[in-house]
Amino acid sequence: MDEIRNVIEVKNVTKDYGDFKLDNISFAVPEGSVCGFIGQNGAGKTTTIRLILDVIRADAGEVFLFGENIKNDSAKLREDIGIVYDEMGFHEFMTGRDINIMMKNIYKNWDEKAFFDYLNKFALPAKKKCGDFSRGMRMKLQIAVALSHNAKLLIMDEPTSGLDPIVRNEMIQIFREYVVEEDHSILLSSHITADLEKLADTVVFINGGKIVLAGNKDDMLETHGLVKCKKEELDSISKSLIVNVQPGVYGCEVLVNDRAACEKLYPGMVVEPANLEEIMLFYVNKAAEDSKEAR
Amino acid sequence: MKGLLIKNLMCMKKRIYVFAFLFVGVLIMAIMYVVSAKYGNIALAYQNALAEGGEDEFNIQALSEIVLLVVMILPIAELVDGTKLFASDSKAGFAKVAAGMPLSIGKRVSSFFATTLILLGVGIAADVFIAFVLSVVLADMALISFGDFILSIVVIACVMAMLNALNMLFCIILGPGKEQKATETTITVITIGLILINIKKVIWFAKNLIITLSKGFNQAEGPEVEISTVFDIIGWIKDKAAVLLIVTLAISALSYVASIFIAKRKRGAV
Repeated sequence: MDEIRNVIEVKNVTKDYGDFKLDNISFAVPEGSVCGFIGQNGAGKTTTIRLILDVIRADAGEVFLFGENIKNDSAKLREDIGIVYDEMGFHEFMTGRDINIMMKNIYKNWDEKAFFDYLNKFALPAKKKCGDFSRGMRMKLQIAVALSHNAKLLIMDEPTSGLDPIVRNEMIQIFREYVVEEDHSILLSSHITADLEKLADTVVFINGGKIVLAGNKDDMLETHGLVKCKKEELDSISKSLIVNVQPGVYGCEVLVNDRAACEKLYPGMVVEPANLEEIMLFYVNKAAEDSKEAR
Repeated sequence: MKGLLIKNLMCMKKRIYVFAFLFVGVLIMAIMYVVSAKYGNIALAYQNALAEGGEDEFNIQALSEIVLLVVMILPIAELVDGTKLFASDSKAGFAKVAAGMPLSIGKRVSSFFATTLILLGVGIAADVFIAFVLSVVLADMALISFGDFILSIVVIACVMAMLNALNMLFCIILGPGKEQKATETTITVITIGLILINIKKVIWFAKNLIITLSKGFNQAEGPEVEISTVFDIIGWIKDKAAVLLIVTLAISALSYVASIFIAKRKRGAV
């Protein structure tokens, strides 16, 4: 059986800015998968993406793209990567036609026909200056560029932030169509967990420069559970199961890391499934409490 | 890199249009000046000055050279300004898009230098054309020869190339959004450099200036000192055109190598 190849491999990477540190992070994105990279603003998502793209260099650790160390020839490796940022980055005077002229002289695999097809599909006028585009149109333009050079990997940094739900949904649909091809993969950084829940196969959760949780999304949703109980009942729950406790309307809410075990051990308690946002919130609060205690 | 060159030229599109207007404007103005020097008021003033013995031929020629030099600077100055490329990229946030492209940092930096080199070439070609037209019009006057024009163009091109190379180096050192500061730093560095190289001349000029000011501009010898000083400087620069060319090439090469080195170390600047 063929071994699963990782398109991205981040190994023990550290980057210290003084006021912020990416602390010995490791994770991998398998080929053909959608990896949701979640975390609150300032958690280190963009720094990690900049490291993966070799925009900045790590103080320690290694990054591999398509199995090759980026230190060898990151420029060549970027030929197969499409990138979408939260802001457009193209000059406002540029039209779709101008961008096509520029890009076909940059990417070896630039597909002019595909680009104009995407512009048509996304209802983006090729002759209109992109400075006159709405935010949604600007994001679609970036996606059109990212998808028009036969990229094997899409790296997206908060592509859906600030977009209305309809456009967000359209974009998720585009990403779904993209990953139909077996060798296409996506690393999607976002703090909008609802989008990731619809799309991601794996999730990497970063907080304060550290990877808090990484793994299969369905497993993550399956194992975590939310127990709503009274404060008196809290002591009866095993400490090893509790991720964190938050005060609730009628008592408290407890995130547990093994829903099945919790249901078995405490049949009287109602254990509800937790969504990614709840999991993220509880882990972030736990980290904040831990760092407060450490101080 | 070709794609970035195209993008850079697109960024300079407005300036290229302005250059075209300036080119035509400068050509018309220069021809008008030359016609006036041949048949009009300047020619009359020249004849009067010679008759009165107040001006010698050299000063009239030098004055014409200065006037034509100043107008000929305009087209090149409009085109050769790398800071505009950096400013345009900073405004758009293009650096992060470029960082995701399959292009090395060296190629990205080279694209800026190559663009300004192309534009410098266009500017020089335009000035050579103007010089050719003027030298044809001036053929029967012993005012300025085509060779003198070419020498002036070399001087202009060298100065602009040097300014531009340093401007781009400082743009990379200071980072995106600091293009204005980069220009100010370049001017400061060049001023300090020129003062240090010509410290004796500067002291001499300062002394003369103080004497002129203390005697007052109304006295006959007052402005005389200033005008002859300007001629001296221009004469000196043209005498040393070869040195200037070598210095320009050295500064441009150093600036290019240093820019790549710094951009690689800083990362994310271009």
